[in-house]
Amino acid sequence: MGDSNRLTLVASDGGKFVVDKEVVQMSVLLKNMIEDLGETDESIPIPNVTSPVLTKVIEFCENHRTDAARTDGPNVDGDDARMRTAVVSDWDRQFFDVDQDLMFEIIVAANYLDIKSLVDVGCKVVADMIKGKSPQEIRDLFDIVNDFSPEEEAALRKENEWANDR
Amino acid sequence: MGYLRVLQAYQQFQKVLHSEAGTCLDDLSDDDLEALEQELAITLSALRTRRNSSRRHAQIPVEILTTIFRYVLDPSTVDVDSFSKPDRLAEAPPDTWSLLAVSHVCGRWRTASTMCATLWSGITITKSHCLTTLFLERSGVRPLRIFADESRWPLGGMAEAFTPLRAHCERVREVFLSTCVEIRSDSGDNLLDALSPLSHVVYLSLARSDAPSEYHQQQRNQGAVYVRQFFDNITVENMPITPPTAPHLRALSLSVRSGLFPIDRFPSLVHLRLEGSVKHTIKLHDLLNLLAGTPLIETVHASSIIRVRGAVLKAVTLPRIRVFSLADLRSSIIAAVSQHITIPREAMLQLRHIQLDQAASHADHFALPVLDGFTELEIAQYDIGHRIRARGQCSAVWLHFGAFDFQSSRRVVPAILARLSPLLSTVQTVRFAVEPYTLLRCVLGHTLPTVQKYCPAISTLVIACCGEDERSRMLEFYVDPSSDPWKKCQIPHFKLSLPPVENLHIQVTRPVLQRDMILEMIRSCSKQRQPLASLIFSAPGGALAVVDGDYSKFEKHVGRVESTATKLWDPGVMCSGGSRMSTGRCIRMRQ
Repeated sequence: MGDSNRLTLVASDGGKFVVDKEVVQMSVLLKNMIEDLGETDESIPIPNVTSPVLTKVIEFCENHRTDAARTDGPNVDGDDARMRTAVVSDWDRQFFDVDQDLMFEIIVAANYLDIKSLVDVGCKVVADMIKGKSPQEIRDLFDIVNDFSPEEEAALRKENEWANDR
Repeated sequence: MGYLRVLQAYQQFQKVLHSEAGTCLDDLSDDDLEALEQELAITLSALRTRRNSSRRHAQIPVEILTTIFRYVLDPSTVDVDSFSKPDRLAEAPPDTWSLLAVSHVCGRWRTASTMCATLWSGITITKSHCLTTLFLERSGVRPLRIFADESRWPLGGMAEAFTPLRAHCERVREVFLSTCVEIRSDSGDNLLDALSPLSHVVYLSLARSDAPSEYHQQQRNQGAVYVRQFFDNITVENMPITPPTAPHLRALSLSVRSGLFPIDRFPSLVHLRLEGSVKHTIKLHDLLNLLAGTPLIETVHASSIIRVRGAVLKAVTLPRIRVFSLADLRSSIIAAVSQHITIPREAMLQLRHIQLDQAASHADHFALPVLDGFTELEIAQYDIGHRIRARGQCSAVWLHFGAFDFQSSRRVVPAILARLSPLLSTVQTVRFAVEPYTLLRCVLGHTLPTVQKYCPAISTLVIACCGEDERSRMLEFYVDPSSDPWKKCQIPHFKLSLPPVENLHIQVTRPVLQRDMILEMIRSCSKQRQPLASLIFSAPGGALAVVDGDYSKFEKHVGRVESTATKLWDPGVMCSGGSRMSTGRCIRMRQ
């Protein structure tokens, strides 16, 4: 019988990760699975997430494991909780200081695993990269090709004219 | 396969085009060539879409993409459902340009953004009807948040720009109008009537515009009429105008220039903010009269309060009030406020930016009757002014001191403590939120022993070192980690006499405390050299750098590191009356 406080996650490429149950419970998906499985030594497969991505996700969860406990300060209310999710700390920024492919994979994985705080932080990081940039600068940043049809291009030009008429 | 066929056809076409046979294109009419060109453009567009779809970012689900866009826009301006936040006052308009930019990146982003009605529900009224109409269309049936800054309008152009909004008045929930007009005491009825078309508005903010144009300067003396005209321009035809004209209005924020208008006909008003100024003050009797007509009021923030000699003050009971905050008032008014306003004990009373009356003694600045039975008291001076916060009976007992300057810390705090001493026997938690110099020289040097004397039950000490104000910036050299602030402040080096407590919380916003200083605090606070039950250290990244990376010294005195976390309270924000969270890290240690 293994440690009942720990469980094994298996990434899509077969990589195994032994983690504290408390840590992975930040994932609503895994939390529900753990509750459904009860006390078991079985590994939990994460078919949509590769080892490098799962490593990062676990790192995030371990770093944020006490987030829930932080609400014991004074004057915490619902609005603050909402604001808090939008805050990106220095650690979070360093966490997402990875290549873009991995960054997007982490966000997709967080969405799949239903880790709201990681999704929020990821979205905020991407949003910060976008803010203040022109469409072409955004395309260059994320290697996106302008795929608008001529009609759409015409509509965009009009919208730009309207926006400039302020 | 379809794309492959298109590609092959395109390649064949290219061959034809560059061969001699290409001359046959000369036979095509202009219309044919245009059609061909368009078809090629569409094919090219499809190919590019295909290329985009192979990229990693294309795997992001649309709902995540729209979440990103919401953050681009700024979350605080998007969530139209968050009306209830009383402190959301100086609302910034949504970033229209960024929203358009993301919708112009590629087809997928355009679809994702235009399909999300919430993104388009915050509308900054501009000269362009088309842009306003675009936002109105894309916002679907969502409630609207309208922003307009009068100072940005050309002569007479503002009213016309509101035209597209006429058919959507019922959707308007929030109006943020920055106006150059004076809102005078005789403006009330006009404004009430003018609000009629916006029958579902729940949040109205009328703020002074800082940069009135020449045109607006001319309009200043016609303030009341002009406000009326402003709203009349969005009147829906045949809509009856009968007071009360804004039955759903829950929040009202006004920057007043002179006097107040009667708002007692807003039966649903829950949140009220009235901002006066040095020149245009709010009269206490006006405020009391006004509050008498708002039975549902829960939060009140008013600034620049004066008391007119001889004016009759009406006693007001506010049974549902949760936060009652007055700022920029003389200390002598506090007693009048406490005598005429009755609030539930669980409510929070804040008195901020109190200017000291010369004649009164420091202890007399505080209206003790209203604090009778309090279990939470917050007193602050400097930057945020004296601030008294009282709460009713509850198990936790807090005493806050915030942002006192050096002189006041020496004189006022001991005076307050002495005056309140009969009420302090149950205080369990004491929090100091002060700028660095005061912290080092007074709080740690002189004040805390006084606290120990008057608060025998203290078990938790919170030291928050903020210093976001100008004064602290001037005192920057005191907090240079490379210097020795303790020596500068002539405090016996690292030998403190702090109250013995079980819990020590240290909150800093900048690297004012070096590791050894914190260690000394821990030592001093520890009862009979027993480790603390808990130590919470929180700081933003920069401040944390001072102690980051070496917790071993702490562990010796406190226990094992229990956890690390981010985004604890930002004490700088806290002590200035806000309640936002900020980035930071927490080392929570437990025996």
